[in-house]
Amino acid sequence: MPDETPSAPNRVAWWQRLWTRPAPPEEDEPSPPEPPPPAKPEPARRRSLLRVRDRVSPGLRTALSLLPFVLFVAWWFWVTAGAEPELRRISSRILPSPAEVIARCPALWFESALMRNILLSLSRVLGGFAVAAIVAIPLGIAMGSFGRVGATFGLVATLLSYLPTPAIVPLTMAWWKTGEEQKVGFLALGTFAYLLPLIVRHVQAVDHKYVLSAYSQGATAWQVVTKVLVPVALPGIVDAMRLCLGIGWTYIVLAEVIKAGEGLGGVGNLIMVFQRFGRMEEVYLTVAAIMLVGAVLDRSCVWFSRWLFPYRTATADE
Amino acid sequence: MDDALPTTEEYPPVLELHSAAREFRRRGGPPFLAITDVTATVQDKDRHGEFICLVGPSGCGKSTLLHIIAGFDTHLPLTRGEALFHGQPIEGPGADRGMLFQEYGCYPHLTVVDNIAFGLRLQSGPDRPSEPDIRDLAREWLGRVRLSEADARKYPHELSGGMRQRVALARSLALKPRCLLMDEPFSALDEPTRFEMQDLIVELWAELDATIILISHSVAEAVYLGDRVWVMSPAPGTLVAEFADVPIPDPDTPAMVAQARPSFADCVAEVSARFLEVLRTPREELTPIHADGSGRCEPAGGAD
Repeated sequence: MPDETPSAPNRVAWWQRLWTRPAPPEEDEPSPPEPPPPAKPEPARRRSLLRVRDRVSPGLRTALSLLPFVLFVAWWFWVTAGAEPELRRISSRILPSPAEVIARCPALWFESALMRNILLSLSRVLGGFAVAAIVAIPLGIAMGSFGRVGATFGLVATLLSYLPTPAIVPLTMAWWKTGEEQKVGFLALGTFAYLLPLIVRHVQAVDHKYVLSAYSQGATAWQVVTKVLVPVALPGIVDAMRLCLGIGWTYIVLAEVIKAGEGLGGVGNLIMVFQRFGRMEEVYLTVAAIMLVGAVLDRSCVWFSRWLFPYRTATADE
Repeated sequence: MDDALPTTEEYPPVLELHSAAREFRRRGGPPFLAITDVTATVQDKDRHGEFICLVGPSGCGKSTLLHIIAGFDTHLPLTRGEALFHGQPIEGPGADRGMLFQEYGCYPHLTVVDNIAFGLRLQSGPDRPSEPDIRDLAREWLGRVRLSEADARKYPHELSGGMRQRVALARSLALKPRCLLMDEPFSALDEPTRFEMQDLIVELWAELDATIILISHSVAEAVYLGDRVWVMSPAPGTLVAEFADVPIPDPDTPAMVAQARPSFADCVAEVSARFLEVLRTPREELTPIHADGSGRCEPAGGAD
């Protein structure tokens, strides 16, 4: 490759050269015209594997979405192969084999009552979420609608969104001991901090022309809020609620860390107990169950919101 | 729409602007003078509202003027001058002054028929029509803006841009406003749809007694639709020319045909020439006029 002079017209950075073909050396004399290459037979048109923004058929989508799991399970079998735990690529203390994990399922389901604990945790999350929503929705709508209310609580909301949620677990225990109030209270605080700014933003995002239109049709300020701002922002608000319900569900482990006293139970508590006894199989299974419940929760919220708002796609532009 | 319409002698003009000016405060900068010295009078002529079209370079304060008439931003009173509607100072928005925007005309969460009925349902007191009456009225307006019964249950996002503007128009007109303010209502539409909408507005306006003030970025549209065309100067905007003798559209000739006629093109050329002159004259050499329907065109330059 010829040395590049600083005045070279098309300089490329060293990293660009990694995939840029080097320029052919400059020739003073035109080279004799090359004979045209022999006509090759037209190769069969091959469709490239990756196409930008192509539509994926539902069947292929399902197959592709299963691919990571198949790869993971294959890898899992490979690293945990071997009858003797000591000779495995990954020790069973870190990652038990698929067979070992499956074998623990009945015990987790029956003895540890997984379902009952999930329902208990779910009720705590929904309780905390309900408390957060009851405060955040009216307050957020008021903050988004009325400039003065927004100015009053704006700084508080900004500070709240940087609330170090895990750090307030001991505080909530100091306030509410370790009973149900502590769990519901902690989850309410954690979700509220996320929910409030999102609701404010969705109400503020309603185009001002809707407000002006309503006023010029004779609406009062109250009617503008209840008949324009809230209904137009509602799909966004429900979306924010879905997001925060998911966040609340992931906080469940933080809420249920206590090891004794009142208010035991729940999936978070299950994980704590299994960890203490070094039962990695159950820890993995419970973590998987938490993710699964979260995904189901999320999907049902999406379906619910689609049923609730047939004009859903309208929020983007008009 | 009764027969005893007020005559101009008995009643104050529909709209009066006396040296109106509005400044916007800007954070960390001098205040921005959006419009200044706007003086205009709009009378009902011959039992019928006037159709006024406002053209001007972008950012000259056309929308600000419309917002002043609509009564928006009343937390920010006029910096100078006054704006009167039927002799009363404009203190806030109201159903007597309908407003139509270029976009976002329809509420996304309501079906077409509910969008049209929206304003009627907002009313309270003894004048509020009953729910069956509201539904009948909405259906009636649906037909008058040439939307089909099948469109009634659709949501705005299922409609084309032209159909959405039809809904927005019906929604404003169903309230029988005394004045209809339109901020570039057809600018986002494709050309055939725009002509169709022009035909529709000409047809509807013939039946209404409302005054219409329409902002347009198209001189041809302004000349075609308006009884009067106002030309606004660059910011700080003020009215610098008025054409009161523009041809009046014939409801029987489609806009697309009428606007292709040479006589129409000549008139557009005249107004366009004046418009260009305004654009090319330094702002400080332009003098405000009193737009009162006399159609005076003050010379653009100051001295010579």
